[in-house]
Amino acid sequence: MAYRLTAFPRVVAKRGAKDWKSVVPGFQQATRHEVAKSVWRLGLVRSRKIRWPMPRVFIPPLVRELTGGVAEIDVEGGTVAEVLDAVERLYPGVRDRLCRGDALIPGFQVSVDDTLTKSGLRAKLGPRSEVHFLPAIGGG
Amino acid sequence: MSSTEEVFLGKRDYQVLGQRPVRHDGADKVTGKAIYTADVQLPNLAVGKIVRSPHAHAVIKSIDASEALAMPGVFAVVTHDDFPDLNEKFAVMGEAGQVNLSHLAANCLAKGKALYRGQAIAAVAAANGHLAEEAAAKIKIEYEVLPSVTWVLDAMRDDAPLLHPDLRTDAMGKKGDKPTNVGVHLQFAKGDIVAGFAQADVVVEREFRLASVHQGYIEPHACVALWNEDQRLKLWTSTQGSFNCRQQVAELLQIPVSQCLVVPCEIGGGFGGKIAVYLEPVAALLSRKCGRPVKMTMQRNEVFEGTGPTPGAFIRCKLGATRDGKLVAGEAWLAYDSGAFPGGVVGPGAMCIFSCYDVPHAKVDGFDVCDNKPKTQAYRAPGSTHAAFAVEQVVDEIARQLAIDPIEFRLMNAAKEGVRRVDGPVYPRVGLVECLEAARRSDHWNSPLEGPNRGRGIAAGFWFNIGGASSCSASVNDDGSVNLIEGSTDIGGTRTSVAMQLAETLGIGAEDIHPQVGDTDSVGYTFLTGGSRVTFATGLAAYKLGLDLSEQMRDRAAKLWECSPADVEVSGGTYRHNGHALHFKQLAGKIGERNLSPVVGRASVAPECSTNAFGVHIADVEVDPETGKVTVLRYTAIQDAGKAVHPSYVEGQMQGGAVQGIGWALNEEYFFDTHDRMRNASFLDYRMPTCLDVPMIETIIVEVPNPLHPYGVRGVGETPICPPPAALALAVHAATGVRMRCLPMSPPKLWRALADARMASP
Repeated sequence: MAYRLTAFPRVVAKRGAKDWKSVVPGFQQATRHEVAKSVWRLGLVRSRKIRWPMPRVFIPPLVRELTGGVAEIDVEGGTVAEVLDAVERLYPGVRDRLCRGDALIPGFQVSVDDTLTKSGLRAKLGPRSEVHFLPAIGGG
Repeated sequence: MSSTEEVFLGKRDYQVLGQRPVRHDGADKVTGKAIYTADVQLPNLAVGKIVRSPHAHAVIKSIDASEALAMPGVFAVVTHDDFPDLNEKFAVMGEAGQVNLSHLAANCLAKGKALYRGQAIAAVAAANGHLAEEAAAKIKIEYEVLPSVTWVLDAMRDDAPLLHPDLRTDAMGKKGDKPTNVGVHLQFAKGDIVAGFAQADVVVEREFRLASVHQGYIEPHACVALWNEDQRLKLWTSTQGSFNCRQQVAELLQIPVSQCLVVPCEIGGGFGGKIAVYLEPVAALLSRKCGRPVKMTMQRNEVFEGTGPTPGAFIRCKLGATRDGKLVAGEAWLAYDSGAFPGGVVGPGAMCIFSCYDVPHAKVDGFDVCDNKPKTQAYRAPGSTHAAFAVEQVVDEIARQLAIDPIEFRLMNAAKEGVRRVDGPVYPRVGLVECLEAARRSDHWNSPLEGPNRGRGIAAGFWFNIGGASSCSASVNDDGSVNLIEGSTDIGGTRTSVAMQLAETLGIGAEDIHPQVGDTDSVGYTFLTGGSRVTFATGLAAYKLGLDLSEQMRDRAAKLWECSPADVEVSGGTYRHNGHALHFKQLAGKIGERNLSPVVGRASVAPECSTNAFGVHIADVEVDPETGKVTVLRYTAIQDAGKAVHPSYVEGQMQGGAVQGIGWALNEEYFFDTHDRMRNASFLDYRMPTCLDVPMIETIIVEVPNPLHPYGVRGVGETPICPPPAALALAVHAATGVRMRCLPMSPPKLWRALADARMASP
């Protein structure tokens, strides 16, 4: 269950929450090994002040009601679809808000870093990519 | 990891780019020989005419065409019922994403209800235009008139007339639970605006109102359709995208795209208004029904009443800054109308409102609202001009309160590389700072403005500019010239700017390239001409095409000199090996002489990026306090073009955008009566600026190379329309002390505002 491990440090570090078990739904089911690894990573993030190299998903404000107000989530994944699946496992319902079937909701597109892409959920991500969900842009 | 690569070659000296060659289509256009759609003539051509709704909102109870069809010389009548069943059908169409085909069809021929005055209800084809008009008048349509609404805030009220009873507000995938005209609610946020405003020493919050304006292209919509016996549909049309037109028509008629050929004729302007189809599917249905080619052309009043204006809008904008001039927080609330169907441009408007500035804490809410106007369409930087009108005035007010020079204040807060926009992405290298510095150095800014009732304003603007798919192909002639076929319809001289990039790559002159715009059967898929993308994206394809041709020429040279292609050196269009040297044109001649394989190349690209164009405009005005008339005394437009491929065209785009923005600011508006009927649907009454209304627009081109293009090219077409309304409003304020927060600032409105100010003053 890598999503718990990888997602945990960023979420906790950002919120500074002490009751981390309530921050990440389902974390209580993690194994001792998973918890230990997460805490190690959290320590790394805090002590060296580095960002764990994972794609960062920016949750649209109107969807943050499903993430308890969390705005940015670092999760593993090589495509937008994969990171959305990872976010969905953490915060059920997010994917349904952003997608219709295998596509984004009408009128929206993905921006990977500063690049508006038409690849949608298939867009490739690097370890430090940022993912934004934005209105589609055309022009006149 | 970005899906785009930094490919700028770092060159500063060019052989072709930066020159001002005569445009390739110039002679045809100035001698009247260019073929526009209305010029197309075919054997047995029928003429189509649309019957339009006289009501802004009405149930269509019945349509009786029997009398019209009984007339000699009348061939066919079509209504919405002639479309295939499109209920619940969506199509993915480029950047618009999924498009509701039912709405698209109903905008071409109304289904059940007329949602705006001027909406097409039925169409008739007859032997000539007079007969078609007569027949159209004989089509009997019975209406049940409904209450209507055309102002965006009125349309948002709970008791507003509902256009679509099944519409629910979509808030990022969450549907509302009650019928409404609000189709979409979106929101962006960064930082903590409560904390941000708590840091502010100065906070300014203002409200702004903008009327709808039309793109005002000089050529009305026109189309010729020929539905052949082999079921192939051929369309000649005036469109910003032949492939987009093909896809829309094919989806609406539920035929394969391969069954439809679109021939883009010369186009007399579009500015975003010739992306959606209006006449094309209707002419196709008529042609299929009557077995003849059918030509349809709109009159000017049909263009105003039946095609997309830009949204009317209400914006509330709030900014906070510290006393040392640093913006710390911003909040905006935007409601844009989308006209009769949901899906307007509030999204980009909301993305743009703080795009010129580094605002660490910000929140923006946007609402897409249906009302009884034609479906709104893009208009140069869609949504951004509205946003700039609001934010630039608030920025100016804060700068004045802090007694900081307006350019200095903007420089202190300007968006630059590394700044995160409110909608999320971080800017790469951009050129706003350079534009502001160019403005500060300009002769205009440094010239005194003297005299009563005169004032100067300055404002900035932004548009993303997009990439997208482009294709082109070319063949080399024996005389060394190159026939170039590209897929981008040419609105602003792009044939030449694309040809120049091919010429630069090949090391030959621009006049040696013979560019033409291909139809959908003769060139690869090319996304529409819009989003300021063509000189960038199709130019990128031309660059790659040049590399392909050059490589083939090297191969032919190697065959000529009986060596390996790797041993042939190429520089500046000359091919060299072991003492031999032939220029491109000489080598082309040898290929024919020696019967070597002809050189034919092709390239396609699909860059995914924004090229991020910023502009800054300075306006001097004089206000007549007796009449409220604003005279523009001097106007300067400054813009980052990346690399100005053809500086005259860049200047032309900047001037054209500025003049359209001046018209938007000072006079243009859809004027509705109490029955929500547009009462100024002619160029006599819809006051667009002419050359008598504006001074020579001075231009300053800033060149901050775009890292995503080998020659550093950015788009330029849209940004110039963003700053003018704000710059003029600020100039009017400087001249009169009155803040104009409504557009247009037409004489009656400004006169009223001046009178109110006089009454209010002690």
